Amino acid sequence: MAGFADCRPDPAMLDRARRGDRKAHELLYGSYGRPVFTLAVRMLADRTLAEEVLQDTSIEVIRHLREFRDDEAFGGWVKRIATNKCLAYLRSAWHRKAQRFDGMGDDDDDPTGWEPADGHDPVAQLEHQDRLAQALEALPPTARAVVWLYDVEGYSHQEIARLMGKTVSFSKSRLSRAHEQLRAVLGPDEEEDEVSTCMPQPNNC
Amino acid sequence: MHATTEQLLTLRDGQPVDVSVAAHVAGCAHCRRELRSLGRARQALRGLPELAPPHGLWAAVAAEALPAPGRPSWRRPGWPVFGSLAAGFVLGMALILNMTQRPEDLPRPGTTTDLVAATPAPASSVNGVSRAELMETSRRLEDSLRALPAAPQVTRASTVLTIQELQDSIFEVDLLLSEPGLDPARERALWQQRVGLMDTLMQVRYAQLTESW
Repeated sequence: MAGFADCRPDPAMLDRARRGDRKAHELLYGSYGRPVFTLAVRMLADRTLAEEVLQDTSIEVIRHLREFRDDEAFGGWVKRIATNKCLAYLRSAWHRKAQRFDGMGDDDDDPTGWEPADGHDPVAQLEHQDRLAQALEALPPTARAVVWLYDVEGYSHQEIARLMGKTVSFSKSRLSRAHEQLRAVLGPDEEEDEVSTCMPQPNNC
Repeated sequence: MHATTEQLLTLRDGQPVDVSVAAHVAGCAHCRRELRSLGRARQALRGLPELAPPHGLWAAVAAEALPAPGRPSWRRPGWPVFGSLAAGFVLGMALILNMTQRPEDLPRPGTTTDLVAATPAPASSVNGVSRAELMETSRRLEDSLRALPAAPQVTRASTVLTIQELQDSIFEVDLLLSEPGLDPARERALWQQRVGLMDTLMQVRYAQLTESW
């Protein structure tokens, strides 16, 4: 996956866009559209909301590009805007559907989240990536957001805590929970054929 | 007792972890397997394919945020006209703020108000200021603008329009400044103009923030 790291447009194109050049803006959109849409789909598990995030992010990029001067950091800037938009949607969703979400600090486990929507077993039906994507979608929203931001987008726990207005411990615990739940859905790795007993060493088991 | 997922994630990411935990994981097949599994999960997540946004989304974005191609922007009356309007607006704001200001209303250190108060006075008001000083003032104003909090979600349309017009005017000055072969007097005048516009923008942005307080 290319992602935001490859989103480094030519400075001349950025200058043209700053001067209001429509074609330059379209080319910029071409460079960040996929990473933003991917980030939003993975974090929100909702394509319609993801389209809104991409649209809002693009509008913000267009309106504030003149104020943004660090061309090298363009991808990171767009990622930050998109991440904030996604988190805003998550917060908004908590207000509307609080009972379905893990509430940023509450200790519920979203018991409905792990059932396949159509009643079929996704593990048996889908390829590995589809299974993983579905497992990700089924995570509680904050756990899903944290695991994506940390493991894929490279945010630190400190940064995630700041973005979400929570503590570092919160970010760490949500990451752990996300991995435990992913594992519960995906099952053991195929490569895991070692004997599962502990070696007889001090402090073991 | 096996290592917790959080401890294993700490190990996976190369962060410091308690020695006893590290020793346990080194000797425990179950924990090592869990650790490898966490590493593979991260790789698998990173390996998920990028998703393409639907066709036509750009058209919607462009229609909302960019002027229609081939048409002059309706909100670009030219900066001299607008400059006068903005200056009048700012003067009015300044009068209102001065009339109502009490000692306890003075800015506290570290606040937005303090930031505005600490912003350099427009160099255009000082005689004999060099081009270099104007450029430095312009740079500091830009830093101060960036340091202001984001615009509130609810803002008067007139304020938004004022800000957009000021940004457009600054952009036009920047275009003129980028022209090759500018004579020094003209360049200095443009920098002076830029500082004046940025100072006005700073004041309007401040007014925008106070609207939401």
